[in-house]
Amino acid sequence: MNTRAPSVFASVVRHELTTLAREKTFLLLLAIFMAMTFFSVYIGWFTRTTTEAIYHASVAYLAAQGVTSIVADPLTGVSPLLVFDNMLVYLLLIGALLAIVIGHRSFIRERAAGVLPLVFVRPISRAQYIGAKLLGVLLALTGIVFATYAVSAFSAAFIPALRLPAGGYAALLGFYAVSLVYLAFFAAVGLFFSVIMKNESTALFMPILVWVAAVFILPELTTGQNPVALLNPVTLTGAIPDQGSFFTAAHRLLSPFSVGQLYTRSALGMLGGGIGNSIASLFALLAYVGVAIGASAFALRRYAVTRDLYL
Amino acid sequence: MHMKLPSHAVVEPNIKKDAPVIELDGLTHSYAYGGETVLHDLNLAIPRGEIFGFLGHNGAGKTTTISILTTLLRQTAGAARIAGFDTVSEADEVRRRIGYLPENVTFYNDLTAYENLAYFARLSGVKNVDERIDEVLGFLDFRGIEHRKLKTFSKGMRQRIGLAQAILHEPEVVFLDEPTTGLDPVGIKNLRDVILRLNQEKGMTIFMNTHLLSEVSKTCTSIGVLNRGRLIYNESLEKTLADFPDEVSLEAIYVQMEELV
Repeated sequence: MNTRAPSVFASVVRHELTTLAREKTFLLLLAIFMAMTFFSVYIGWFTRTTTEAIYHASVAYLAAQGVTSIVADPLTGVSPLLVFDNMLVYLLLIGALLAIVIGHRSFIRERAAGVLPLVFVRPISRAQYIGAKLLGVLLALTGIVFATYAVSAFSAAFIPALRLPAGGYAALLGFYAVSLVYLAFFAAVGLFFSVIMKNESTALFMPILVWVAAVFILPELTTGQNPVALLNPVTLTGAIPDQGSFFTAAHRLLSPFSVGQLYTRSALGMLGGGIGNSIASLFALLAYVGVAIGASAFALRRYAVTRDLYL
Repeated sequence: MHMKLPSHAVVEPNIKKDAPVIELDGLTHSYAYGGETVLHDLNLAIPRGEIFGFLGHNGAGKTTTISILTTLLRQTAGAARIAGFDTVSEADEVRRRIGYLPENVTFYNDLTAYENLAYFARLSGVKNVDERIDEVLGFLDFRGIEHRKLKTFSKGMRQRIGLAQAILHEPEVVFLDEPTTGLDPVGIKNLRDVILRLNQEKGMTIFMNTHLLSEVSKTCTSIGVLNRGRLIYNESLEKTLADFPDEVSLEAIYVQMEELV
């Protein structure tokens, strides 16, 4: 018989994962996300083959018209891994929402249940509790991201005509690893607001506002006349054309804060869409994750548990 | 009675065994916002093995006092010690020795009684979690509900699970904040029996905030009365009844105390 006292830290991590697995909102979002992942490769593949088919039909038509100088196939030289670029959009949108829900629920669940006084009358320090919570959230995200990787790789294997380059699956893994960093940022933002906001609805609304700013508003301002660039990630890998002084200044000033663009650049680098400044973007993204985790830890450390006694 | 503590390396304070298990020394608390002082220079020493009834009107400062004693809140001045350990500088040692049942005890409703208790047992460093849960539920005459979700429990059942989580780690002192709130007469009687057994069979010291004076007279061995954050009375129950020979009930005595302030 095992008579060793269980680790307090491990108990909180385990509890975090157990309770998350029973969250209906989380399970619903996860199911939607996995289904979208499964079909995203097919969608990417059909988009690519349709583009090529249209190109070849156009070439045949122009040749029949006697045109001899025809522009080269635009997809020549484009990495086959870019058939996964729909996943980028899904992660940018649904993935971030899922991460926000995970981070938000992690602490709101405890507050709503009113159990924090019962937790903190036990020999567990705030630092242990915060560390265990964050680890639980990160483990949940890691599980989701690698399940997504498995689903992507599995569905890609069922497209016989899709031949990934050597190291293609490793590059795909790199893409998901970068995505994990992006999701960790939003989970930490969700956690942070769940600690500092008294009202549960506001605690969910605020990280969504951050998400809207980081993924829609800032990219719109920084990509100027090409506002859909983020939803058409390939365009972001090219140089940004001169768009006049306002957008040039906005790009210089705001692009370091555009988490959506930082993620897009670093993730596309992994898919072979042009490395560009993807490493710099990845480090910037990691810095944001560090700041968000630090802010959550600080907020949780200062949280007044006694307010939960009067629920 | 010697108390068995969880497996952690426990630092024994340099105190006598008969020293007070709960000590308040000039305890004062003001809230940061507004600066209102809610506890004024409380001095109190409760010996081991007592069942202490902490009385006072709503807003007198009883829950604030319990929050400080259970390490959930830091006082602004003075000190509080449990079994000789300071509630601020030696909070973890205090936490190993206390159990706590808040007034509105709540749990994870989607988890079963067993899952809730197992989590809190692990956080308390309890070895042999399954065995201990079975033992505690047996003590509370509450076996057979382990695999039911908490959301299906009545107020009385929740209160018993609340007590179970408070004593899982065999604490030296159990703090009960208005434990009879919302219970029917049968629930109140059951709770009283459990409190007496915890004290008599397990040797636990009980610190109980309450309004129910009839229960105090049936359960407590000593009382303290808090009025607007000041301790206006602190005596054994026996001495209290002797001090007010003309009063027919503890309720009448309490009213007289409040009127004297």
